[in-house]
Amino acid sequence: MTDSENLVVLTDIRLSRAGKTVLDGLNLTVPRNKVTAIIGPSGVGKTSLLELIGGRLKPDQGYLLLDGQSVPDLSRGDLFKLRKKLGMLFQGGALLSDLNVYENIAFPLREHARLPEPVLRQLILMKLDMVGLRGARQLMPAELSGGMTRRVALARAIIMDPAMVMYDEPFTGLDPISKAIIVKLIRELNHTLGMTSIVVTHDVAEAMQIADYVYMMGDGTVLASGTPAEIEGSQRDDVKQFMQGLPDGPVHFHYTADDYLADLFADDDRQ
Amino acid sequence: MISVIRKTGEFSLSILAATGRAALLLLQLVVNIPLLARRHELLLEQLYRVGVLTLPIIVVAALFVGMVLALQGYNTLIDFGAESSLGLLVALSLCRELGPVLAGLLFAGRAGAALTAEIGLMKATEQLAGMEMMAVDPVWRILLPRFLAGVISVPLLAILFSAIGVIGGYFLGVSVLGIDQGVFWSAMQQGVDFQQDVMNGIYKSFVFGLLISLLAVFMGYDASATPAGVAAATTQTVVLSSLIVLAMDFSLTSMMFSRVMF
Repeated sequence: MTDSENLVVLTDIRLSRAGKTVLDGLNLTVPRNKVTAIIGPSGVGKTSLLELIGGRLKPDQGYLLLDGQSVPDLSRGDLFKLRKKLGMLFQGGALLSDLNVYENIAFPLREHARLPEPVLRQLILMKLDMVGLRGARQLMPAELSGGMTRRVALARAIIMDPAMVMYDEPFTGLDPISKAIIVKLIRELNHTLGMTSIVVTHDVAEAMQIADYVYMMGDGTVLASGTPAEIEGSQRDDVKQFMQGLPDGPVHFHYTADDYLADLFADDDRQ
Repeated sequence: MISVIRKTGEFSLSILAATGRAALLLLQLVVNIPLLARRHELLLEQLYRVGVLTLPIIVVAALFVGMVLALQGYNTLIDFGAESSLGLLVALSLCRELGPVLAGLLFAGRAGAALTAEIGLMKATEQLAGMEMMAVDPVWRILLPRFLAGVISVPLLAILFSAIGVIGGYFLGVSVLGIDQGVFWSAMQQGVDFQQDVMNGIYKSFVFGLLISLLAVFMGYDASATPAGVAAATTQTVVLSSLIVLAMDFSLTSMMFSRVMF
């Protein structure tokens, strides 16, 4: 039962990790050929959500359909087949440190396709040119700046022409110019290659710029969703707090703790 | 008191669980071996990194061990007028024990530690996770070539260790201490049995190679993805491999040369 409108459908997902509930009652759909942004404070399970979609984690409860296939029920072989159609951009780039830029991008092709070397070279140079790093192909990952690493990883994520790319915090730790480059690339790639994109981020401004649809997460579930304009106009306190970056509000500044005074005068609790 | 019992129990359980995970990993590795036939260049690269690059330390160590054996053996044997057996003593010690054991220990320190650190760091920097998301199984792409290279290298290194050790013993015994070279070689030729001494030594080194390589890749793959986790895993690889080599050496020796024991 493939859904012609939505590529990913999550229904009533619950996930716990190390005894802690990360996601609870999460419902979310990702429309095809659109950029969907998932925003929210750090630690609300955004990255776990990507790992669920990529099949690296299994939910405790709920349904997860990707292109009509139930990801948690796939065999290892089928999961790997599915992943060939997915690209993922890790926060740290996850480039293979002993291969240079060119070989890093060649890696998925060399593993999955037996292409003649000249064809391989053309494909790689085309993707490298898209991210503007054709001249950097001989550099090693250690020689790249943070922004360049992200762009190389992006070129690698799209080398197999995936149906969907998942971006895990693509803007974190980048200078304004690199951020703008990544924003432009995500937008462009989504349009020119007809991909579906999921961007997980806590950078509000960038998310609003590129997204067609935005989900705001908190407390393991979706707090609000809509177009960027709808989210910006939301009257919910928790959404307003996040969008405007206020230090205290419905999302507390303090991590859950005992009463302050009682705690100050309590016995030493070092183990 | 209760907490001591509980800690002991937890510790034993964690060791059992880790042993189980290692056994499963071994199974996964073995099942994937046919896949490597298409990509033999991966194995060749690791044979170079794991095996060839360990050669210098093996050669130098073997020369010194051979010379020390000859020196110590000569000083003892001469009291009994048996210095003509020096060649036999050196060869038997090396083939049966020192070759496999020392090659194993040196391999664990040089290559085993490097493998654990490399794989652990790849895990800590999400390289293994990235690979999985690219639909490439790190077990066969990263772990298997390294594991197989170790299994193949250790017996070869052990044979080389014994051979070079004999040359070291020959140099000291014949050139320095003045034993007749004909006597040195003929005593060795008569006393060393190919099946009993040489092959048993090779079997041993094969077992050591298998265990060290499995431990090295398992520790890296199982390491917690933090700097401290990788450091601990690397240390454990060296410590555990050394202990396992020595303990297995005793077990294997008692099986192979049981007439000495019983």
